[in-house]
Amino acid sequence: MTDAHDPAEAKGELRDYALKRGAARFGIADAAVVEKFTPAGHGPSALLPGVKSVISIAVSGPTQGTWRAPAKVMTSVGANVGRIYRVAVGLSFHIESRYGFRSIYCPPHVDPEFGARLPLQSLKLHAELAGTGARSLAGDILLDPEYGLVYYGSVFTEMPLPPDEPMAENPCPAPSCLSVYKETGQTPCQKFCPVQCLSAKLDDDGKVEESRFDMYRCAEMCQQYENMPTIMEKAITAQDPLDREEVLYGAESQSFFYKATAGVDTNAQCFECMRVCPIATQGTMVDPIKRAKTLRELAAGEHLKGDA
Amino acid sequence: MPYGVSEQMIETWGEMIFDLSLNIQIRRGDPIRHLDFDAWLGMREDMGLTDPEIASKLGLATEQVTFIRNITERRRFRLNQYRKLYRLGGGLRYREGRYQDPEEKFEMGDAAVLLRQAINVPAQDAARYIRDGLWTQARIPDYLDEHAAARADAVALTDQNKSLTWAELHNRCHRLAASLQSKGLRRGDIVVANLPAGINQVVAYLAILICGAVFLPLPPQTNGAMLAAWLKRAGAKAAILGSAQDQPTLAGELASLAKQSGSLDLVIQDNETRSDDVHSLIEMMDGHDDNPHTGGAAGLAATDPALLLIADDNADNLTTLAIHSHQSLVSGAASVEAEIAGETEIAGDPARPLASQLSLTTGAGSLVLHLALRTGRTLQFSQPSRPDMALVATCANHVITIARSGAGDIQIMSTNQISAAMINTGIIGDGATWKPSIGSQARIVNEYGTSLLDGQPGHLQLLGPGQCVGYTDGPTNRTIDGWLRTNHHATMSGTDIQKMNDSPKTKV
Repeated sequence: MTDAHDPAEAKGELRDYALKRGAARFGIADAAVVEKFTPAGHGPSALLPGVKSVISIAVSGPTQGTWRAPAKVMTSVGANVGRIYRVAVGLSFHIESRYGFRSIYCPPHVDPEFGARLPLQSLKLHAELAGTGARSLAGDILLDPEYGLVYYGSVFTEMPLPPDEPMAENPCPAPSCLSVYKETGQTPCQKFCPVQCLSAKLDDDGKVEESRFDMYRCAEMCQQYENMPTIMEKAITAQDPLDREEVLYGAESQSFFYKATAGVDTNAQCFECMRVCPIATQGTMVDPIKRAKTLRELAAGEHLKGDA
Repeated sequence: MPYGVSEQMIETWGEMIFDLSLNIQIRRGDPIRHLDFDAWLGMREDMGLTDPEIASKLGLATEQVTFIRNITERRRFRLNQYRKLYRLGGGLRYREGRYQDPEEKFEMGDAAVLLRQAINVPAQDAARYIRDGLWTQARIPDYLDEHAAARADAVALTDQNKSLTWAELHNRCHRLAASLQSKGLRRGDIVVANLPAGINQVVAYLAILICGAVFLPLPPQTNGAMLAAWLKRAGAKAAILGSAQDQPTLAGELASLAKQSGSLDLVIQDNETRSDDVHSLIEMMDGHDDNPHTGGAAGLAATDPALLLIADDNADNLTTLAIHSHQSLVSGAASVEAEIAGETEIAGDPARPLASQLSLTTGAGSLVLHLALRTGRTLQFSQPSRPDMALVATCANHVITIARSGAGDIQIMSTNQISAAMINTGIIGDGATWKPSIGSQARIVNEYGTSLLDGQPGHLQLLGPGQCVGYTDGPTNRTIDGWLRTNHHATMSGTDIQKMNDSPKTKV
């Protein structure tokens, strides 16, 4: 630890650092609170024993052009995780070098002890408690009321920092989605999911009485960790040589192997629930074109003039 | 036994562990956002437990839970779900119930698989037919759609009792197709029919093609034993029989057979009403069936078999079936289309029995039908009402003689194995000179298969786009390079062919 710093000032400085490097949202959760809501072995202290603060970083989602692309194109370029590393890894180094507190970038990966479907840490939990997102009906994907679909990164630090509050309001379901639900019994994200992994019961006010997420179905689209061994097994057990060739060299296997071996794109993504989500695609800061215009206007003081 | 886990343990614990894990996540309210720890704790199990948590709950080791969970997950994992995304975007969204997996689209029964495997066209021939525009993507029902749109009120078919416009024919065929699909007829299924030549035979044929199924017409006089033998041999899914008046006991016998058969599960008779196990063709065509269903069209011109004809020229007593695709049937008709330009109707010769002229059971008869379908001509199954307008076709010994109203007669050679292979536009009868039709080729070979020089007599062999694309089980009359051995002795000079007499049948 180096010289004492004012926690609120330090928080402001860290926020500025993160925003300058490309973050859309910055929030802090008390590590003890996160620990309380975490299953044993998956809390922040499992990575950093003396952790005091959990910093949640959100970067914005795809461009407006990407939202309008064919689904198969969006699977390739829709994800926008690259900036997380730049912001969050940078932040962890910045805290150590500027403030002298041990920090760690929280890996957004699976726990190698348990296979492919159990994460080391829940970045969604961090974000929810740090107020950078609220759980939606779309498979618990977190949404920001202004930025819509965002991607998260977390930094754990031994530095005590003033925590933020969770969001006061959950933007999901949007009023238009509630109307669709009342009419059809499904919100758009549920209706248009290619693997039908979402369902929910909402009350008249749109509050979630119960929502169900069949993660194992979503995983068939968005993770596909079982692809490789399944392909191999089918190839070994195929009776017909043509079936064997198809499973090994068919278009989808080839695409999968291409992505896996060339290291390009993500192996699997699906955006169909988010594509029909008004919060994800139409929030005031979702559209980079409008966002830039807004920021330019703000910089020029036009909003102030207008308000006056 | 990895981690001491047996298959039985997976059976016992697999689903339970799967349900307790993160694979299924149920949430009530928004407890984390509200920092409501008690509510969160109350739904922990529903939100998904970690493996150590599940292990302690069930009394298993964590390693066992992890292994059983991973194995259960992999067994429930479905490959190739990603393909659901391929047509989405640009305003198109996934809709449950509308998506058809390609594997389901091409799912077919055992008989259909065998039929596909029997299709075998030499690559160089297929390439030539495609390059020369002789084989296209057009399927036979496409012409029905085209004429129903372009000349809806024009007469398509007539017989002594009734006539159908193209629109009526279209509707009737699609109603029957929908009914057949609702009764389980799938793409590639084989339907055996022993209907007499006439409107209902044509409707049945086209409806079956609309379903993507395959039509195997047998002569109407086929007896029960022969019919049963064909049904079994073809692995037929359905049988369409002539009227009860013509075949009083056949339908009942076949319906009994259907109950015991592995493949046959649909017996239809050309009756007004149905009985317990026998459906009514008339009801199905008229849309009065119990289970109307609007199924989509299926099939591809290049790969889908459409019509099976008995390979009557086979040089062996074992009868095989010649497999015709949409392409071979359409190209046969297309190759003689120019010869009937200006004619408006095609009719059977009233002096001859209809079954020998316009029946789909023969290659010659089917050519006449496909000629009418392709060109939008009226096909008359009875004496032309206006003989001066009619194009009268007679079929004998695989030769169709067409009396054109405004020009001289022409002859077209069309067997069950090759459609419209040769045309004669000159002298009819002895001394006639034939030429290969568009896209077809002829050669004269000796008994060893060596090509002979101009003028040397030998065996006539033919090759063309109207040739059947394969044979069902049994010997065939095709040479190793794809030429059809005919039974004709002939000489050839340039492209002029003079048939001399039929060759004695030889073993293939």
